[in-house]
Amino acid sequence: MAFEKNVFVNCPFDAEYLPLLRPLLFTVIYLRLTPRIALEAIDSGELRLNKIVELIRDSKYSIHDLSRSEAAVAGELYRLNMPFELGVDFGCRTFGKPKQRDKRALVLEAKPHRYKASISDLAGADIECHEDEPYKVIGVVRNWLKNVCLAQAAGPARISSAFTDFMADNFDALTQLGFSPQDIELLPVGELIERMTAWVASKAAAA
Amino acid sequence: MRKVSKHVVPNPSGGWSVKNSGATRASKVFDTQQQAITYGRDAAKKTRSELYVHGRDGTIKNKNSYGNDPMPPRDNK
Repeated sequence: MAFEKNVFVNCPFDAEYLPLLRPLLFTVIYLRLTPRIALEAIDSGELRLNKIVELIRDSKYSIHDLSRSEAAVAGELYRLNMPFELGVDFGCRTFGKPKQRDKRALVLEAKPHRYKASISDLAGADIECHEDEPYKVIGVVRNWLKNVCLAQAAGPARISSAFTDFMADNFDALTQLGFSPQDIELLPVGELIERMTAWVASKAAAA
Repeated sequence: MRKVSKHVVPNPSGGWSVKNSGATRASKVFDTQQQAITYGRDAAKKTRSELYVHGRDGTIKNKNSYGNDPMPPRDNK
């Protein structure tokens, strides 16, 4: 039943996006779902697009962040990976197997209605704004997951507080292992997911 | 049993909060991060606990221990 628990995360893979990615991943894990992200396993022998298609096929839920699609400076090309993967996900839902017709997707943006200028076909989809605020991501993702797949879910304030506690505990644990503050900030995403999952499980076991 | 630590964190409604580890609600809310740090430092000293200063994204920008030093100085006299 992994399909029912998997949440495909389609977002930029750079240090500038980590402030939003960490709370996003933590919220998914805290709510006992499984984030699936192309960075979770680095296998140079596997074609990146094949990996992404496999993740999309295996995930009932998807979160697509289009907030970094625009060029940052004049002359820079805008980034098409996120809208492209959103299209693959939509295609899977439309043309896939019967269970894939139940797929649900959340599209994240930084500013309300900005997407209409570049991808107006999305009108009517689940689109929410995080305003580039890391703690706002928690509420937006939590509320959408509660709406589409959870009978009960902890409130945003509780998840935010747990995220704060995780970040402190993780900082201490990694410092003891010889990580510098910069190492901790740039912890590989796969390792971050492992540590978040273990922390949430340990807190649940202790409760 | 682990001591409750103090955390300076961004407040969702604006400003900065000081909260205890494990608590959902903030102990106190301030306009500026510096005001929150000053309050949090005094509170951590009183309870001989740790103060974590978080950035806007939750990362740890600074940590100080008040009475919970894992490697205290040895008295060699």
